[in-house]
Amino acid sequence: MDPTPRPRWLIAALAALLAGCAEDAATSPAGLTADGGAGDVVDAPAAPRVRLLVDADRDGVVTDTGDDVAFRASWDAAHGAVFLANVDDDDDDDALDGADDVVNGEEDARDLARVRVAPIANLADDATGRLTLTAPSTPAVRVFRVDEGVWRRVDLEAETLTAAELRAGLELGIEASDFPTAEWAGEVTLALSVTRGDERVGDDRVVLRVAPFVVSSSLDETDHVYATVGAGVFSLARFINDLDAITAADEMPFETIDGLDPDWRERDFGPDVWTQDYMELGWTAMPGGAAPHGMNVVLRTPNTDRPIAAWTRRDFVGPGRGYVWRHSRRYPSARAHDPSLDSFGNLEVIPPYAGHPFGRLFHGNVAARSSDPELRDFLNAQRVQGPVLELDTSWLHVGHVDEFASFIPVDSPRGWKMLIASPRAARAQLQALVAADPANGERVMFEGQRWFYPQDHPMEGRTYPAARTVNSILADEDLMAFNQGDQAHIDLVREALQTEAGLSDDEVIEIPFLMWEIENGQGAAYMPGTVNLLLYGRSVTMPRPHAFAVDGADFMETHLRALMRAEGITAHFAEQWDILHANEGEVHCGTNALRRIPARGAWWEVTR
Amino acid sequence: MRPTLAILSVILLPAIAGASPLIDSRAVPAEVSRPLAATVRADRARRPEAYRRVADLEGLRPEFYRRTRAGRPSVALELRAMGPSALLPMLDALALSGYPRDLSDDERAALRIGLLETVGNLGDPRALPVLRGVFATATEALELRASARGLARVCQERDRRALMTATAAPQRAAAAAALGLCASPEAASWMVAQLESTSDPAHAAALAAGLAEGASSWARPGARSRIDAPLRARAARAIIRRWSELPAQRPALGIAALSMGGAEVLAAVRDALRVAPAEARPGLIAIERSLERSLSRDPRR
Repeated sequence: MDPTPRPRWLIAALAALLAGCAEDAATSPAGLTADGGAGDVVDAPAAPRVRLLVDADRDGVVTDTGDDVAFRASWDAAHGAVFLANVDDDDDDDALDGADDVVNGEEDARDLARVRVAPIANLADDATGRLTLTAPSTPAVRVFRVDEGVWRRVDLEAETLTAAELRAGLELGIEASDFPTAEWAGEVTLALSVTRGDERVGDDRVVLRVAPFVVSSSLDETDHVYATVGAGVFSLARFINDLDAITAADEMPFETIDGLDPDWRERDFGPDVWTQDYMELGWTAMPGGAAPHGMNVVLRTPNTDRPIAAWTRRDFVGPGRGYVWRHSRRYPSARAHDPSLDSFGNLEVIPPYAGHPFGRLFHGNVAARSSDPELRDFLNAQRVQGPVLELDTSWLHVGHVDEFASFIPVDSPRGWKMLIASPRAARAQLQALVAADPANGERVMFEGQRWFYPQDHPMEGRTYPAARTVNSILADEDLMAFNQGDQAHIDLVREALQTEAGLSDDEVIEIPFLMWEIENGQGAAYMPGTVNLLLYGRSVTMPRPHAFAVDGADFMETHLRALMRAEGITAHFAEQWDILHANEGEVHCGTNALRRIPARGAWWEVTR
Repeated sequence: MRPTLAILSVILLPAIAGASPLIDSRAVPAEVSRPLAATVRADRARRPEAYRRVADLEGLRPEFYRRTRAGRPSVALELRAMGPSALLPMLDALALSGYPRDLSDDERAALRIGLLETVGNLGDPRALPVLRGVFATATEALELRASARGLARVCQERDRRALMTATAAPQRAAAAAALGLCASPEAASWMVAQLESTSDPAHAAALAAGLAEGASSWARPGARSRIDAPLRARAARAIIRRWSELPAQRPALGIAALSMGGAEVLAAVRDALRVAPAEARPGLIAIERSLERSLSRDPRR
């Protein structure tokens, strides 16, 4: 180790000089000179020194020393200022804070990244200053100033700063109205130019980058759980009651969304119960001192024909709760576009791993069956969890990645394992039961359950019994061939996920359930898809499997409990056959979870 | 509603609603439609409830299907649950009466494909004239797929020939992928030989998919296999060889290899690994790993 470490700004300055770009403040520490001041004004010691300051060292405080000064006009994984897309509604006036020209209260002011104009000494009375911003027109980037505690927007086109203001110094705040886009990586340059008549007194500039939207990992600490309710839908009430009991026992707050609210209720239709699908929850943050400062953000499904998604804008948005919606201007009508793929059960995060400290997004999308390209562009533009890993889910009728993969925390160096759907394990388990006792072959799976149109469902209609013996399942050649085919697809996506994250086989747990063909060769879970689960902390809630009882307990529940217990996880089971399983979804599809901004939410350290 | 009135309504409803057959009229020439209509008339009089069910599908009601997770019309499962007794009502809807209410394009397509699939899956020779007509006239991939699979399931000599000699690209692909359902050694031999020799990558992938389904080691393990052991081994080698030769088709051929499964495929992969170039090794190793996982869990391997 070097016994006399040099300041990082000095090293950077030397590197910049060696690279022959010392004059380029955007790519090297800003305007460095021997005294650390702005190059234009330091030759004469008494000359005014113009300096803009930002939180370039990311400690949550803007200072006039060290790396805040040295790196004020550069941006990399180690240094550079950050500002927020101010998409929450701190004053609860139903307008997003970044959409207007005012600062909406003290909490809103906290969402502005600070930029300081350092007091300029020795400035002549007739000197003036002008701020300019190099930023896109869309989204809007706004600069505010605070005078005696009152914030107002700076009109960059018209406003000049007086000598008195410059001598006193100013505090500015900056926000964006939205997140990075495919066209804009999120970087802006704010410059201050001080002149005296035609004479240039000095100038300076700072670089900031807007924080991205980060999708929460299911391993992030959970704030509370959501599910959609609908009065009078008893099959839904059974599920909600189970969730209520499970979350209460776990002391996990549980919030319901009224699926029959007049604002999104569709005449003659029951509630849209797919809480996972109409929104994706995440966060955005900037350095804030001890912990990042930011907000939770909901990403609304691109599907424009999803009335309940209006909940995200009407009810989720509020103080510290932001909103973003991306969809193609004309929602795609191309034959290859499948709106089902725009549901967010089809957008999940591989938890953090080497090279991806915030995990990596994965999503079902292939050319022949694709999601809204605007959504994919938006997610890729956020960069920290990308590029989005695109998998082939065209073999699934619904086509969502949550139908075959999920994750749990474990005590291991990596900290998590992947759960993967396994018809192979299900078939082997049924075979083993029959091998152990041939009488098990005549035991009935799914006793008392029905397909399609359950009793008490608002669309109650015909039902078909689901009950079937183990022997008849195993002897069903079409079913077994179909499951072998689906297992092949699962193995392919498993391989892609394992390779991507560097997972060993020991870090993958096969979750047994059989699939079946819905139509056109596309499948869905035949046995309740227990990989499709709700996770918070060390607790998972899986769909009740409705297998048969061995020694007084559902053998599949027993098996799954043991699998999870071995990893330190408690498994719960919720009744959801009628409302979710029979409609091609499971517990994960019917729930959502608001996760907290990770304490180590320093996305700015991600070098991509 | 009184029974007589109910019967009359079922008989007359399609005409009142102006419903039209769901498949192209060229697929149902008079020599097919006339005897089918006579059979349906008699059957409908005997079992009006079966017709009423097929003419009133929940999976076509937006208030239902928009609340499923896929959110689109889908009737195949519902029709499948009705069982063989729904065959004639389904043929009636497909080829004669259509559906007694206006449907959106998506609903109509879902109904047409769902009926074709379900009719074909029943493996009932009474459906063959309609399926033959569809296979000969359709251009849409899903219709061709459904009709080819229906023909292959029954696997009469003339249909087997038609599937094996299909030349137009969409028919050929549907036929190749369906032929594995034919319980016929001749069809299996033909598929293996074609797979070994075809210069068309897409045809190779379709043949491999068909062979894999027909030779699925889960569906018909060991001695129950429709394909004898030497031919299985040859099919396995052909799939893996084509996997090596046709990089653009590797995902499809890899799926086929795993969908067929069994010791023969594992042996073929291991043989291929001995001589595989470096670029092919990771893919082959991945297939090997998956096969090993399945075989290690299979008590009947």
